[in-house]
Amino acid sequence: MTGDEEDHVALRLLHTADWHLGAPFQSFPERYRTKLKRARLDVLDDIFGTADRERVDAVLCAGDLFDAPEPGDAWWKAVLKKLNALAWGAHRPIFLLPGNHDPLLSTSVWAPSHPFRQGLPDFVKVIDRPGFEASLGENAVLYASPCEAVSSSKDLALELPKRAPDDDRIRVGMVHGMTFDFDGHQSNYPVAKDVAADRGFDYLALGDTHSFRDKASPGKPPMVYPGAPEPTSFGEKDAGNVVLVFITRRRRVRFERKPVARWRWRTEKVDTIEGLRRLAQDDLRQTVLRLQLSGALQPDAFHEAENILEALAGDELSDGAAGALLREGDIDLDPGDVTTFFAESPEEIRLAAAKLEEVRSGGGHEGEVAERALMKLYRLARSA
Amino acid sequence: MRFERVTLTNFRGIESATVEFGPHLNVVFGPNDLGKSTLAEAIRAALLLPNTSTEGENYAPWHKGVTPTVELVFVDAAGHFWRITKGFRSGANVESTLAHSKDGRSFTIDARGREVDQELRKKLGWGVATPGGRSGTRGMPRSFIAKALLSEQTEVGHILDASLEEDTDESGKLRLKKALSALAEDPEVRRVLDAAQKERDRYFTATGRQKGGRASPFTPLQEELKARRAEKDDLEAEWRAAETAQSELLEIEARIQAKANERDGKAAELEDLKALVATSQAHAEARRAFEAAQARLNELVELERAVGDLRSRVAGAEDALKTAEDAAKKGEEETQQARRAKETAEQALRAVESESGTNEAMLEKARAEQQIAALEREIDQLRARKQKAEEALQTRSALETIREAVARLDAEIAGAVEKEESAKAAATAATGDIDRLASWKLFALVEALESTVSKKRDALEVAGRVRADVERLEAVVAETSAAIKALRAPDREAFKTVSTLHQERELLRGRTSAGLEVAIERLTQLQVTTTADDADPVAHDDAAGSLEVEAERAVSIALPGVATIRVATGSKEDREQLRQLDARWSTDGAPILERAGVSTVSELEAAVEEAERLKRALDDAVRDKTGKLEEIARHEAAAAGIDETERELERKQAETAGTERDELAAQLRERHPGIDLASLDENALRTTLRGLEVAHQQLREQLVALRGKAEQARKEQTALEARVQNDEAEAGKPPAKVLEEVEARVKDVDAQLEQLRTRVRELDGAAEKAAVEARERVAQAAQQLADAEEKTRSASGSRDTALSTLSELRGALTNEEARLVQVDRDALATAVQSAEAALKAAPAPERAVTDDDVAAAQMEVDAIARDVASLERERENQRGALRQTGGLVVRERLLDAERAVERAQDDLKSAELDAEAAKLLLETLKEAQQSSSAHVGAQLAKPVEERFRTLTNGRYDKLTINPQLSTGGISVAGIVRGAADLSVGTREQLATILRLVIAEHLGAPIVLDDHLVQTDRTRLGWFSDVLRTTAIKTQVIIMTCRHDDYLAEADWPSPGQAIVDRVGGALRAIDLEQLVKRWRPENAAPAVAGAD
Repeated sequence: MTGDEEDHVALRLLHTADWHLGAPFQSFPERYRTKLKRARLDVLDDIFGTADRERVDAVLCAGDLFDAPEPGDAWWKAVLKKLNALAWGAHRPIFLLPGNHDPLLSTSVWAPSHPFRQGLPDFVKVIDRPGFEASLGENAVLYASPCEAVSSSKDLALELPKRAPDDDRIRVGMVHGMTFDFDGHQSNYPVAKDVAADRGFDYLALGDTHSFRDKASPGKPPMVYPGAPEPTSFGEKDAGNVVLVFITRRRRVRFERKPVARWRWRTEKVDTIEGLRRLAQDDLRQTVLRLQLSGALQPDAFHEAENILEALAGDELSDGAAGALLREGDIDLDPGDVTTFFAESPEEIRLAAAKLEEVRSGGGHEGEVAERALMKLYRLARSA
Repeated sequence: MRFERVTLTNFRGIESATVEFGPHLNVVFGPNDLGKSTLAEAIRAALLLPNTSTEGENYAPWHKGVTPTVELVFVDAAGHFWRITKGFRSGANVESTLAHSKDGRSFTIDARGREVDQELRKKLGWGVATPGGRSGTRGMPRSFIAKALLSEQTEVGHILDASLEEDTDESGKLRLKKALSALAEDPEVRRVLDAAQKERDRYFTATGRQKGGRASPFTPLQEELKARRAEKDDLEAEWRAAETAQSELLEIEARIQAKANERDGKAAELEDLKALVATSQAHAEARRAFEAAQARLNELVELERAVGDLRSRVAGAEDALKTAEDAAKKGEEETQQARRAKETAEQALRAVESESGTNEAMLEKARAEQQIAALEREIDQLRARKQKAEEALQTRSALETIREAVARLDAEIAGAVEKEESAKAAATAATGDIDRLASWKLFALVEALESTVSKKRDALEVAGRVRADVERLEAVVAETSAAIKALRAPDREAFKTVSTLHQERELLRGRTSAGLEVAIERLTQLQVTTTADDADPVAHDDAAGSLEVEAERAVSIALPGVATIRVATGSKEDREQLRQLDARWSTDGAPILERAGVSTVSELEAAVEEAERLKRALDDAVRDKTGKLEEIARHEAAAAGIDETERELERKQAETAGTERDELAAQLRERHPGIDLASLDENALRTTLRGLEVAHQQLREQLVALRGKAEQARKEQTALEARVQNDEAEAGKPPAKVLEEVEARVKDVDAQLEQLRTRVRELDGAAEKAAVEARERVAQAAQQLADAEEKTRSASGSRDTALSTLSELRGALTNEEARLVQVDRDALATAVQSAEAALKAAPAPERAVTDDDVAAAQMEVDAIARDVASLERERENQRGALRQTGGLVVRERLLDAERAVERAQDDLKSAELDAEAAKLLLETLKEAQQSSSAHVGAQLAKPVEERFRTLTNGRYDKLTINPQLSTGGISVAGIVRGAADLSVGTREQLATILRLVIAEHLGAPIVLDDHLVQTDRTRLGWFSDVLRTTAIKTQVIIMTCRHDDYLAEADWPSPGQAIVDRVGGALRAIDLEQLVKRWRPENAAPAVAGAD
């Protein structure tokens, strides 16, 4: 942002969404689940830290902050603790919007009787009614509507009030829903095209999609998804950000994404020992690594590969070099070299290896079993 | 295993004998025919021959009717004593028993009758099938092991021809392979095999079944997969509901959009029609304005033309007035002249008429002419009446016509009313059908919900019952766990260690417990302290005299101040070994017994077996409990959402309140006969209803039109009826009557007229001719006067007319000129031009549109708008339904759950693959071991050929024993010779070595009955050493008549002594003659014990 723009900035906002606290990560082995769940909570410190450094006027949290309307006590208690630790005061309000994962229900954390809601500091506001309106300081106003069910065909943005002809304030909208680029799902909290322009908003803060996007047409007021601050799965492009929004007195808007994610989700295809060695050189402690393995290695390389993979994965008692490792496929032992490997073994082992290799080369399920047995024999013989 | 003792009663030639065997080498000697082979046979019979076998009859003494009986006591590897008692007598009720004992004294019977041999064969594992089976044999069973251990005297070399293939079951083969496989395996192969076995055992039980329950590595994976699948299934169901709600909503929205488009199209058409009407009205208005302006201009032109015309006519009238005034003047002059001429002519006529009497005729003629005139007037009046009557008749006819039209219209109206009411009733009925169908379907929904609720309640009830089972099983688990814990028994491996330690210790104790008796003769007063074995030291009085100390293993004698003498039995090595074993016992054995609260290894084994039994029971209970919990989870999953379903059911039941389902169904069936109610479609009914409503509307419109026409016709009828009444009132009678009277009167008058005219013509015919001329002249003069007067009147009239006309024309001209002055001609022309332009600007519409067209279009638009409103209500309902679903959140969770299922499936599949691989690897390794040169035959051959090579001073080299343990051949000087090719002595030596090696590795006792009779002294000496070595490891019983072949003279029993143990118990010499009581038949042939 240039000095000129700085001079004229009337409103600074931090826009975030889709924290998904308490997401179960069922597709991961048990020992990684806790780690990945905790990461979602840890990133809140970076979000609030960024808000502090950027001296924003307000923090907009656009829904799906919890993965479910009634998350486990540990989750809301942890969030409550972090919010109470901020002690920002009324000059920097935080607005929490119920999304479709954590809609505003009588039993959800957003209910007035819920201890989470009751424990929130005064500067944290819950968007707890349709057409919520709040001042964002002099000459700026926020309009927002919460999700009140897991599923609905209501366009929440369209229900927000239009700009009156004589209204020249900065108008910011905030809703949770999907813009019309997902075929077949337009009926689930849809957000109409260029609804920001239609309703007279200078900036529409959205939540739902886990990737950073601006959905407005060129020349129209921005309609921005910040994406999830920590990625939730592989293939989420441009996840791991919050968005900083700057609006001048003349209602010119600029926004920029700010990376906050602590974890990186990475997919690697490896079919050589060299590739595996290179990968092992990287610092993967904060990486969720999906390793797609293929190919066959000679015994020594195979042995090395097994050691590297064990080091990456760790075990039940200790962490591996990778933060979390998902293995797909496998590296095989080169059968031709197995025969060589067993050449010096006792006769019984040589005979067994030859027999297993014969079955393996026949293919099919029996071949697959024989291949696994051959690898077992290799390992046993090697450790004997 | 070892034999403890054997007792024969009435067995062949032996009346009674009891032989107690030592644990190691036993040399049972006695002369021929004493009964050594009988003893061996009795052992075989006790172990192998069912007592009911007919072969047992051979054991009976031939001269006595007694039952031959054998009692054999043996000790198994675990140190348990087993006692077999068999009486052999076919057909007699002689019982056989198998009993066990922990101390060798008090026995408990475990089996009787047939079960004895079943248990024995199982326990021995010698390859003999249990009796009674298909593979069972009659008589003394044969097996490779039985042949090796208990071969008959006549079968010394038969072991070389035997093989495992002769066995009747696999137990001997397995036992041998197990014993021999461990012989000389490559350590690496052993490690790999052990590891492979361990991996295989992770997944499978000893019997090859895949492990189940908590012990199975599959269980957590299967549970994980099951949990993930259940989660996925739940989410799939939720997502399907959400998708359905969503797609239905989309469909409704599409329908709304289509309807809205249709409505907009129709509304546009309506607007077009309205615009056309407006255009038409504007055009008409413009035309009217134009025509009015044009008319005003035309009026002006007309006025101008009229003024011009008036002016010309005024001029003409002035000319005509002047001409008329001239003509009037001339006429008056001509009239005067004619009047004078007429007076002249009249005078002349009077003169004529006065001369004749024709006045009467003239009067008659005048009367006739008056009558004719009167009749002619009447004729005219009659004609007028006739015309009026004809008109009245026409009116009557018109009245009849209009009356017929009214009647026809009334009939049409009645028909239309009927049709309209029918259409209305049909529409009402269709509406009722829709309502009834909805209500009827509600009942079906209620029924389905009731069924669902009932199933869910059942599921909950079953879950409750199963939960009670679970609680019971939990109690069993807790109780069994407590019992296992209370037993504090070691596991089987630890027990084996303790047992082996115990046995080794017992063996060494035996070897070091020869028994000591020390006699001390104190020649002087001497204080002596003695210690026997492990007992406390005993101080003896300071006195002289003899002193005796007895001990099992060691005696220590302390002579204070002189020496301490220690005497011990057994070798130093054995003692040292025993000391070490005692030390090991105190650390590895005794604590385990102590922990288990038992004092003996037998008790410990019982505790181990009890603990194993309890563990199996515990596993069963835990497995049952897991199954029950899964069952509960299944039932609870089936009952999920019961509250919601019940609430839904209550709602729907409330909706059906006050409605009778059967009544509804009957009404619907009556309305739709022959149609399955379930196939009734509400949409089709609605379509029908809409059709009926349209038809009803059309009929109503037709009815209104008909009623309008009828009203008009009635008005006309009323007017005609008034006219008819008026006509009749005027005529005083019906017009037909009037017409008839008039026509009759006309005929009559016409006849009178004809008569009168004929009379006039007759009167005229007789007139005076002269008068005619005078009259003609008068007439001419009168005519001339009349003409002149007429001419004058005409001229005066013309003058008056001209004057009047002139006056009128001048007045009119003045008026018109005054009007003309008031009109602005230019303004009028401009107005016409403007109106013309406006008319051009408002052209006539392309087509004519009526108000009816507009009204019809409006109706269409309204109908579609109602449809849209209805769909919008439906959409709101569907939106409500959508809010009840999980929406995209469920989809996201479903995707995650699907990935979790895939991962769990992969994990389980990988584990299954791993299990299969572990099994395959172990099997392949074992097969490889079988087929490799290192098979058990080869393993057996190694020690045999080694010993045989030593025996034969290297003459024989390589021995071949195939995998089935049959002897192939042995090489001598590089040439392989078959066992049958060996000399009898060499053959029996090879067989003996083979049998010893087998016994040694099986740890089983071997009985050698006069086996090396063809062996020279040198080799016999070698054998003697080998037998002693072998007997350290396993019990060897030699039956021989040449005891000096095996016993040094020092080892012989003293005369009269039956049994003597030597070498610390490693050797027992048994003089059988001292132990056997043979039959001494008084009057019979000499006793024959057997084929010694």
